[in-house]
Amino acid sequence: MAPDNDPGTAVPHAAVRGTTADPATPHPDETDPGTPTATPDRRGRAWLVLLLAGGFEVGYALAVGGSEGFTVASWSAVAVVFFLLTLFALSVALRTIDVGIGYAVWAGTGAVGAATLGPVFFDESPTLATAGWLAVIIAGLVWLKLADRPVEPDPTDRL
Amino acid sequence: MHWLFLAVAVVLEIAVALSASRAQGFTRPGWTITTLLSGAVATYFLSLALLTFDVGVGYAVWTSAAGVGIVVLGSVLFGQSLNVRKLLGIAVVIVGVAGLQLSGAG
Repeated sequence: MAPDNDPGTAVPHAAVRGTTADPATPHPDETDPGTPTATPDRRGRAWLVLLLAGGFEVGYALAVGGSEGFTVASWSAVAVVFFLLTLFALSVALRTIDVGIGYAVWAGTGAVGAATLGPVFFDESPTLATAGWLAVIIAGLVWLKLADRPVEPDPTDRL
Repeated sequence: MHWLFLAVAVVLEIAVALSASRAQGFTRPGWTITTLLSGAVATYFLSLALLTFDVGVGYAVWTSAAGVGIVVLGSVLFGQSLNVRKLLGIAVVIVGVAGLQLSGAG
């Protein structure tokens, strides 16, 4: 299961994390030399890529639905492309965002998108329960975005 | 058997997230291949499980078990300890996704 192309980095990072001063940097060995911490810009971009990954996941779900069990060639091909795109974008986003948060946001945005667009493309009708659960997910996503800050800035340090 | 299929799908979904994190934007070939293979095989085992499981229940168990496993292993293997606020946010999202799927719209 574990790939051996890169044995030096296959080791869990817990052991080397003590060597970095910034606990918010998920992969210290991969950070650009000039930017030892995940800057707000970089974190914001990672969140955009993560939402994009959720969008690709929606495209994948809809294409799989359209492929009717991978029997329709065109939709099957579209599904494979979205499969590659969603995992690629997820992988890019997880360079910066913690994997637990990243997975929840990826699954959450994918579920919201699929439930919202499903009625558009397929013969489904949304229910009140659906709308309620969508609201719960979206509230959690917004909460996570606000909570995903490496260090609490001290307002008294601003001036 | 369907519980076994679902368990395998959960383990592989956890592997997808962890290896996607290790793949560093698909710049590491070994982890990239692991990500794609786990993703494909996870989907296959999930579809096997859903042949006998109720689809909503199967998806809900799959997503929430994988979410919990990823948080735990992300902390243990990667040292990505999450504070209470982040854990609460993850829990709300996962509960929402599970609720959505149980309500039949996932």
